[in-house]
Amino acid sequence: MTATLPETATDVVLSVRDLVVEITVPRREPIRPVRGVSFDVRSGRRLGIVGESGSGKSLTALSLMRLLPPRARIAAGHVLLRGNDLAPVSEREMARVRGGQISTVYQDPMSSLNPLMTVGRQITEAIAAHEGVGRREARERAIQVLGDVGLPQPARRIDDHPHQFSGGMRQRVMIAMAICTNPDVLIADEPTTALDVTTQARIMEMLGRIVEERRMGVILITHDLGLASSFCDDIHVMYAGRIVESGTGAAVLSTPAHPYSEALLDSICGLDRDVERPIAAISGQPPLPHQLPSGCPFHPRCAYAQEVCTVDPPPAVAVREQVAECHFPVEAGTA
Amino acid sequence: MSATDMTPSRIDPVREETLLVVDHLSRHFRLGGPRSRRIVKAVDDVSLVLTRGETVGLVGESGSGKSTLARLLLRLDEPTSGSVHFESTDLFGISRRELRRLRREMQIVFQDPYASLNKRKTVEQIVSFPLVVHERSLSRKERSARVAELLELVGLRPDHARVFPRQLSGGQCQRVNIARALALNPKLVVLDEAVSAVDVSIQAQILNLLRRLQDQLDLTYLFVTHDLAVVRYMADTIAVMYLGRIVEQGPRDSLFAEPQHPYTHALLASIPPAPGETQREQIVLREAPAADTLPSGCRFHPRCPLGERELCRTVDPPPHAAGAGHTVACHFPQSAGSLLAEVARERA
Repeated sequence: MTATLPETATDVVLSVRDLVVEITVPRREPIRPVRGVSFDVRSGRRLGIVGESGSGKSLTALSLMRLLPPRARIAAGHVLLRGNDLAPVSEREMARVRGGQISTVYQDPMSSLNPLMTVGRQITEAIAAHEGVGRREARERAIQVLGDVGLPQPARRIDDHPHQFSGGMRQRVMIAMAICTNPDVLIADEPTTALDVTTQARIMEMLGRIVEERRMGVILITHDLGLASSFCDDIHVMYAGRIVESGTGAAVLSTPAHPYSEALLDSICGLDRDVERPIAAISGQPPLPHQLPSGCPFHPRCAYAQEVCTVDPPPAVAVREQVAECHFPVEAGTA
Repeated sequence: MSATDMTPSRIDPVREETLLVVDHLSRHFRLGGPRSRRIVKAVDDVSLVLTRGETVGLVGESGSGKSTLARLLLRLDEPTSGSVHFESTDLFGISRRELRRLRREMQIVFQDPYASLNKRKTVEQIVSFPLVVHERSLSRKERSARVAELLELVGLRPDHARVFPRQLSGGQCQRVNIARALALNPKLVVLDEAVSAVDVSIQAQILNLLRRLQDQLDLTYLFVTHDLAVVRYMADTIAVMYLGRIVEQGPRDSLFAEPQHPYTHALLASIPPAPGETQREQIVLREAPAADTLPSGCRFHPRCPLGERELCRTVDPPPHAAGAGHTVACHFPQSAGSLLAEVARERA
């Protein structure tokens, strides 16, 4: 399974190259929470970006939509949507792309939906704005898409307001809004973190079915390796603003190549673990962007760190089916 | 350990092991005006025993009433009926003054590590605050020494005493919260989603820390969470709550090896498997009913995969014994395999 054969390049809908996000800080050097990130999103494939808070995963997602907070900007790199660079386009063109070709589902549906508008109006507005269809047709399509995401009795509930729905149903409405224009890329940023476990499982199942049917490319941003491994084809692990390991979900999770991925897997409190033994926790804290360690940013917490790790930034090396940025990637069988 | 101020003669040897007894506790809220008939039974007839030095895990989804129950056990709220005994003291039968003394014995750690710390105070001021209130005889120097001791206990450095919460990471803030909770040598610590907001790599550190502290200080925990994997690692006894009622309760090994309630099965099946673990077969629940009307009969029946059976629609199931110390409130308790088979049979 080689994921990088040249002929698959035509499937690439979104390509991110050497993305750097910079945040200006008053009276200090700007900080760089995203430091050179590259990846491809292919239609019909699901890509998971896994990292802890501060790893840069959410800023990466926001820069794809050009929705960075005021002091943050794309300082270098390219975001290519079907070959066209989004970094320099006008705000007006960007508004067409957002919700049109790229859509996002956020963590908290209540803060992303307008509480004063019926859900029907919010969805028909999106359809009308991006597809240029009449109001009646937009409404029909809204009912259709609400049904597709598993909302019971969509024709009746379309005129309800967001507060009349449960958390899970609200997230379905959000997903309906995100997919109603048939985007090429769907970014799901912690889409089920605010939901109960029984609801989470059902939402992810529905999301999987929808992206399968519509052959969308998906980016799932999450801190949950379990969720990423059960949902995604490919996984990128982020740490301190870099993708430190990438590969197929199966490969990264069964034989991690980067010591951070390995340590993260060991620290998961799973249902089948031996409860008598303490969990192998990673010591220390993730670094802050203005206090990055020299050399490899993971070296102060790494069990395998050597002299060179404290000095030189690690090269990207191919290990088995993965690519890892590490001087001493984990050999198979030691994990 | 501080000397017990209870008269030892009043505690018989069997009950000495017991720290806290919750007996038929209920907390109902009236929705709307004072004459409204809409009542939410946030906690409904719950009985629970906390044994000294052990952890009871309280699992449930949002709206299950687990946080209301936790608040009642600290008398941060008053019940509609029922009682809570801490050692031999009736928690709701004592005066404010006595309560203030008892509060030293029971502490709580909340979910959001930042929100529960005053951002204008240093770590030293935060951790020493309970001592300022309850241990007035301590000199400033003695207090500082105690804070240093507490910081070391939770794995922080002495120089952390001088910093403000914003200079700390989420994990470090949660350690400060734990240090403050331990300042008065409590017997009971309620951990309300204490690791739910911290990062994966930090979660393991905090869980290991809590287990070590329990051994070291002989603490009793009530561990409130929505995460079954975490509760399995932490708790000796587990209670699963649904709409205000404990629907299944038992020792960890028995509850995880042989769960009996369809809701417990659904919770277990919906956890994404950790890498290397196999996915359990999905048990699909039906849509949740509106929160302000408690279903008739078994409160779980509108979501139950077994569907609308006559008995389930009409009779509220009492807890049945399902093994040593293991009870289940269901008319048709069974294993996951048998439940799936029955659901498949009914669908056919």
